[in-house]
Amino acid sequence: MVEILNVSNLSTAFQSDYGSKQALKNISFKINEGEVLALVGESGSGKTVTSLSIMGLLPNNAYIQEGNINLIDKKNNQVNILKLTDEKHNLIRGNDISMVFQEPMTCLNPTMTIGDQIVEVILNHKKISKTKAVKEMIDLLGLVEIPDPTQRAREYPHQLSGGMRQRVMISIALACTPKLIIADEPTSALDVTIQAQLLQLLMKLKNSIVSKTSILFITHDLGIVRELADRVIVMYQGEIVEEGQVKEVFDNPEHSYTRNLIQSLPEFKLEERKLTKKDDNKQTKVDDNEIILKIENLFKEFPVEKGFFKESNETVKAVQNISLNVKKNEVLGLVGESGSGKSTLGKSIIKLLQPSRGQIYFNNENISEYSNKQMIKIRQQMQMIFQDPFASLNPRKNILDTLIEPILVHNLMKKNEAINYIKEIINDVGLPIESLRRFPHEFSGGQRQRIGIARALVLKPEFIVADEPVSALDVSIQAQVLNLLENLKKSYNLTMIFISHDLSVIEFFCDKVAVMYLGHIVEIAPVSKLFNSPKHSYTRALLSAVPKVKGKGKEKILIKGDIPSPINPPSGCVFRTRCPNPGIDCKGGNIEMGLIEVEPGHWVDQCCANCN
Amino acid sequence: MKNFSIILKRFLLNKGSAFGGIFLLIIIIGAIFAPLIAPYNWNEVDTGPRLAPPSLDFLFGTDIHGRDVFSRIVYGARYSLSVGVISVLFGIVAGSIFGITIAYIGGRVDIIGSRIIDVMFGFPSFLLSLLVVAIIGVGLWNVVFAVGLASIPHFARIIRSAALQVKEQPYIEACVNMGFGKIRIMFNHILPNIFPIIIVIATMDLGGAIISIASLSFLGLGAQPPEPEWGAMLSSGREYMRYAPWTMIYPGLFLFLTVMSVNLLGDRLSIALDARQSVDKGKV
Repeated sequence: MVEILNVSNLSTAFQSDYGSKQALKNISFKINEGEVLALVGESGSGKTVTSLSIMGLLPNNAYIQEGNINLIDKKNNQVNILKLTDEKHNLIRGNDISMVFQEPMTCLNPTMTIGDQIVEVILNHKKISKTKAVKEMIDLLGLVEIPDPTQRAREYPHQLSGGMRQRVMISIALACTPKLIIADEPTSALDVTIQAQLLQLLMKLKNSIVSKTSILFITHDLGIVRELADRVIVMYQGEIVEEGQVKEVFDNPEHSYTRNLIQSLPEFKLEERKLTKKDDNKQTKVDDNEIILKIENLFKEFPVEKGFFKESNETVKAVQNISLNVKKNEVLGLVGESGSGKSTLGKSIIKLLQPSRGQIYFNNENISEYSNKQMIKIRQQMQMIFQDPFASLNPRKNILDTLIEPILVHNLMKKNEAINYIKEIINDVGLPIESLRRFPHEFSGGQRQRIGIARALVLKPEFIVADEPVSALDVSIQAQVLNLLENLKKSYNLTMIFISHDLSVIEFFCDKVAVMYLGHIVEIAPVSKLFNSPKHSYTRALLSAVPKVKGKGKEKILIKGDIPSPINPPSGCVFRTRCPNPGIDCKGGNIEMGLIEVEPGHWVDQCCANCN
Repeated sequence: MKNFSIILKRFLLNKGSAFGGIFLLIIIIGAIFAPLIAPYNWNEVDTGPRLAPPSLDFLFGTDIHGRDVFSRIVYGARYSLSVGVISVLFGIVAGSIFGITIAYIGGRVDIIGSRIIDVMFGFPSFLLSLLVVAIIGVGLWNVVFAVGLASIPHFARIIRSAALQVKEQPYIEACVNMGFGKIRIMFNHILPNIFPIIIVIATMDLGGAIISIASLSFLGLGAQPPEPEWGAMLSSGREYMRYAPWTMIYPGLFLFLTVMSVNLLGDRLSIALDARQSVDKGKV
């Protein structure tokens, strides 16, 4: 096998006012021709710094202390990238090595059509005529499976969806058939179903035309590694802790960090729980008779702002006709892709957004028309945990101030009583008492989320909406926070709505799940039923789209295209435009949306319930 | 505290802000300890010959009444600095309350409030101050009030846009969710988060305020003789500019240096506070 890239003893450091910080510690690895090498690790492990070092795109305050990066270029010469001048490096970038970034929107020039941008790259590196380059560009767009390439080439980046943009980025990366493509979290910003499409495309490319191109795939998602990569390197704090063939590393991880990383995946934890606590049925505590929250025909629509003088009639239909019940001590999961309306629904329920229509009963009290003033008393009972632990804490308040303010505002306790109470809570969420005097920026992401949880608990609510509480966290931290939430749920007798796009987290944590698509609930069922026998085709596709470490090679149900615009959703069943096996009636859009009960407690949208 | 020492280091390493800081420090010390520093009483006539040129006895010479110009400048620092600071304080407090309120309440309140700011922007701020003085009358404190009032729209506009950004942050949503009232959210949560911006724009504006007040005093609308306000000193020295230029040069020089120092400091302050963010982002 031919080795095309050889990184040896690479050390990179960052210089700042706080002193210098080592980002890479003496790492060495190589990439063979045609191989997909995955670089996994949690945030701060040095994955991205590695790729930037190879590309020569390090920020100004970073410098390479020592090491070599040798590349075999297209002419079969060996070049040491670190010794190149900027100009020579430019010849290599795009031609021998190219890169796919995480955020395709910011990497494409918004003022140029995508066709022009691809042609520019081609002309920059190849001496061919413009017409020939245009032809090549169309071929490339076809290669990355963009439908109707001649038409699409004339569009601007903002006219394309996220998935399409990332395809364009891949086509740019492929433009000069480079020796190496570095893909830095290329699918992390995308929804699972779109991610599944892209991964399939990458697999196809790998096995076909560009089989001699190697891919350095940087990701935090172990499932993707399992599905896509040949070899894997596990990084931790700037060092390579494990390297090997994917199968071996996953089946017999040698380093304890790798082992921990794999075991903290929800899918493994779920298995562990099934093995250890078979009888401890987590649903036992749900009180069937007491319904805490009842929602009837809830709608939330946002007016579309059109222009200065134009009145707009159009609305973004974020939440459409949703009815559901949450029983005492139950955890209801809301799952769906971005734009499905799950966060909007969560915020409408606790009235951070005023619903457009419909009723919300909280403990049999209809709060849907309550004003902000009337809500103040209720808010004590219903709290929220926010997605972004960085942004949801006031950076100018220390933790004690953050936690004590709500208690004092609601007059629950005297100040010294409150301090003792807060000490208890901070202990419950697993933080040391000293943290009370510190400020949010002094904590890590996981710790901040613990503070966010503590804040949701101080008012002793019975009901909590958790909006993607672990999505911003690394896998191992995610596991810790989930464990914490589970314990608190029991000790504080909580009823929760748990919003997540991550199905395995939902499966681990919830009692009942509602799957949302384009503002509608398409299926609602107890967790075990939904995951074992999903009835709706969207649920099935969603379940199969998640890359899993276990069960590699299962046939995937791919759904085509992108989520339709919520301004003009399809008539009838909203999923019919992407449904893999639509019935005749669904295609015509003649069937109204509406849930029917197929089994006790298992509700499915009638369109799919009739088809299958 | 670590951050503070870094900001301080950034200041001292920059020649401009180091100069500005040291000069301002001297002026402030001079203003505080004026009775100890000034060799003569600022208001005593005929301490020396009239319109005497600078000499060892009278460092900056004397004016038409034989008063020591140096002593008058030292005492004048008390006026110029304090009136500048007070008028900016007045403007920034009013501007902050206005800006934060319209930004947070939003909707119609914001639209109307923003239009009021736009209308006030239609007048040149100096003209606006003149107008206010014309209405409420001549006098140093009236001028301070007028200049402060004229700076409100400028402050309010910047603070409004800063508050709009903070308002969208999830921690403000979290406050609503805690059941906090509007006033508490606006002044206990939004205000502290735009405080760095407030400090920067206030410092940047201080120089302008000192100049405006001195200009109005020069026109005879502010400080009245014999008060040793620098602008007023410039005004009374004007007649003798030909044969006793020191009666104008020294007050003018100090006014110029003070305003420049404040501006240098303000510039650097905005960079220092900005740079801190980029360092934080640079951490990997």
